Amino acid sequence: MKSRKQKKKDMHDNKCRKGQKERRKKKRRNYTKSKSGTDIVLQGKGRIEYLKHNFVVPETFSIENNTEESLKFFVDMHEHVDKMPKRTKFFIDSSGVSSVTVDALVFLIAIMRNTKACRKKLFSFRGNFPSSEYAKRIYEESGFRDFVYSQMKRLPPSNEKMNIISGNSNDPYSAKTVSQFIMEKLELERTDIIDVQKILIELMSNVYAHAYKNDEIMEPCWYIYAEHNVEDSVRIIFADTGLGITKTVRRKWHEKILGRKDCELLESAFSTQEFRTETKKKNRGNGLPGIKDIVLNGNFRNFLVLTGSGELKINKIEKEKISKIEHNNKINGTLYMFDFIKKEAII
Amino acid sequence: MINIKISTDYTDTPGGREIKEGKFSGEDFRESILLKKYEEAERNNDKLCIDFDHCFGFGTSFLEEAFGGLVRVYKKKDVLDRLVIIANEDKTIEKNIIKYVKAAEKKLKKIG
Repeated sequence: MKSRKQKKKDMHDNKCRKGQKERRKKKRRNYTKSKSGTDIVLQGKGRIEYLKHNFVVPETFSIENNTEESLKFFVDMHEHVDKMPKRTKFFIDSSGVSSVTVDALVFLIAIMRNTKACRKKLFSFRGNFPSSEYAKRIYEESGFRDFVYSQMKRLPPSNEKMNIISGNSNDPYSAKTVSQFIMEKLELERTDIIDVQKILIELMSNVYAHAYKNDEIMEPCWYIYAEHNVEDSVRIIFADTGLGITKTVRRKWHEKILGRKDCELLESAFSTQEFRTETKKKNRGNGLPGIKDIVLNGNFRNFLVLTGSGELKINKIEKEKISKIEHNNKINGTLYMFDFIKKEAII
Repeated sequence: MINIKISTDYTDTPGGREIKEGKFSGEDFRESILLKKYEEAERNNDKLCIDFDHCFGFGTSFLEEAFGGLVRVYKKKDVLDRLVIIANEDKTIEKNIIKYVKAAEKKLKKIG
């Protein structure tokens, strides 16, 4: 027979269990899913719960090879980062990625690190690596891990790839690092790679000269990556989160360019006439046309610029040296991609 | 003749245009070395020889700010007559400096 004390204890335990059960039920009811199935809202009472959002990275994550889908992914990221409330937790799901190029990784890092809203709203990003070993290796070898926290064991660095480097000032030492990488891989002298150094310095200057506007959604920053892929050529990727060439042109020329496509403005900015990006000071504006001249006269191949929704290709070995494409989705900032080749390799 | 060898007297990795942009800018070079040497050459009625070789490459903004700036900021006259440019590794340097100095002089004349 139970004592009075025991009976009282049992009654109390039952009451607690019942209460716990009800609280659990109530909490379950307060989880809601958005139509897209990616937003999970936690509305539990008594403690602060935050919104969670999943971003699913495209299977082919590459601005170069899958431009529209990759740009759409970034547009989607920007939209969510813009509208989500404070302290939202984002999850970047890369598990389904089977093919990736570093151009897309650079912009992924840039959005996480340089979007002003992320800092203001105290967002946090988590994510996973691709299941595909090939894609995972590219994440690893690009130096992506230097920009995120991970406890996983690191793979040994690749000798053929230079880790992504970044900065927010005109840093000639970083440009020199890239130049020295090219010298080493292509067995060239310092005098052979002067053009690369000149281009990198100009591109870094542009980030600063055209970028520092307070109403921009990104903080100005540049990223450089280089890899020695094909024999006798080094691919260089330069990305910046500045205002972007087409936005700069639109700000300068206003109504004169209404109705013009981004790719047309981009072409114009690289030419020596019409609409250019030069700042209000009259001694400026040598940068982009100068870069075009260097590319057309130097050891460069497959020079590509992507900004806004416009893309421009400069390739001296093709019949049509300059070609332009207008995309459906826009990028914030600018991407430059080009191959530097050994003199003997030019056909 | 007064000499400046940029790779040893300043840096082998020249940078961008303005000091606020980052290290080794054209403005910094002009303020810390070029102007002093140029004025010394003026005082002695001498030539100023600048050696651009053994560097990793000069951006156009560096050259414009350094040499165009001599005319634009300090109103120096006949700059090209006083300069001797050595740039065996990059033939575009001399051409660009002439272009920028002439453009700055033209602009200065316009303003009066």
